Amino acid sequence: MNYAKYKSNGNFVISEVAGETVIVPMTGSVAKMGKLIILNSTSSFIVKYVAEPHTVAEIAKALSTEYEVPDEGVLMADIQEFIDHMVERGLFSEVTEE
Amino acid sequence: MSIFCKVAGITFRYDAEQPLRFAAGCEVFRGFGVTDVQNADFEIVIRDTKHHEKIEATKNKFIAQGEELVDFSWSVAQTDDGTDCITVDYDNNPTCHWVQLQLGERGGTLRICRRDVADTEVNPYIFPLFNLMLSRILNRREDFLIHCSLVDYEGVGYLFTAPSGTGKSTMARLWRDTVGATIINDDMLAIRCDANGNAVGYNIPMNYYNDAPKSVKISSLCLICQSAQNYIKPVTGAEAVMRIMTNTIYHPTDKEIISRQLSAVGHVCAGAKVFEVGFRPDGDIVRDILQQKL
Repeated sequence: MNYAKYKSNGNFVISEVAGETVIVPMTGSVAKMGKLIILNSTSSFIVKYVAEPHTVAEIAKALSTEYEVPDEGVLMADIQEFIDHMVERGLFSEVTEE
Repeated sequence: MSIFCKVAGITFRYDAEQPLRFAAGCEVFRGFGVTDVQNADFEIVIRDTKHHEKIEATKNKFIAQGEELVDFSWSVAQTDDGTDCITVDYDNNPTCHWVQLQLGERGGTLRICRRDVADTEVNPYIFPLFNLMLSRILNRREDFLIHCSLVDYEGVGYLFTAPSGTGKSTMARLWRDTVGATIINDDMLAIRCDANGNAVGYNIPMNYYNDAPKSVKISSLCLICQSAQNYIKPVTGAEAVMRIMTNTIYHPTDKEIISRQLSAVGHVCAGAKVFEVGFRPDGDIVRDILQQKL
């Protein structure tokens, strides 16, 4: 079980475009900003939810109250994969608590 | 003496303070110089400056990264009072060490730190300062600069955008050579919406050659890629906006800049058709596009 908490760095713009939610990062050079992100409804939920630090399990619990979700193991794995992607992009961070 | 230029429908007036003087009248604007301007949209004063007078603008600073093979570096930031400040530092420019533009709502001050104080000639169109300024001004108006080529075929504009080296210039030449289209530009353009919401593409001054101002209403925006077979497929919704956005030029010093850029690209995509076009470098792709009436 991963007990780490994750938080959005806030270094991006999240916006509605043509009925979909998109993210434009503020990090990196203009030339390397190529990978702009289009979110589905669940990833959009996660981006907004981790404005405050949460564990993957907490995110999964919150998601399951809003959406019909697959079995818990699949859901946790999907959330972790999305978080890892966002951490890699510098958009989320693992929070170190004192 | 004042000199003027008009780029993408926006007029600029430049005045040089003593001891500075302009090099060669409007010719410095590479074909975009104009005369008889009553009220310019932007008024820029050029001022001689000493090294120690460089302003350290630190708020919302964006520093250019990853540009190799150039002898300058640049940054865009804001001063404490929120004024945009564009700085270009030159390693080997024969005339100046650095230039710095403080850009307000309707004008600004361009300060030049000269390398040779005996040489008082200044060039207001010093690369890449003008493009950095233009990007900022267009963004304020919800218009934008984009890496692309644009051709005018019988009054209809076809825009081709992609990362460097993909074939923007090749595609423009194919249109010229196959059907006699006019190349508006094959590298970078300003895109503005007219009063009716139509996207219009304007060429801008290029660093290495003179050109005349040209523009055309844009019918289609094509995201091009090299392919073994020609193909054309529509791209819609957020995917279209985001893929076009990727090739636009902006400096994300704050979130408002990005939001305005997204909005501007969204308006253009709403008023024109967006396609992904895979192509082989011959005239068939031109005929395919015309046959499908993009």
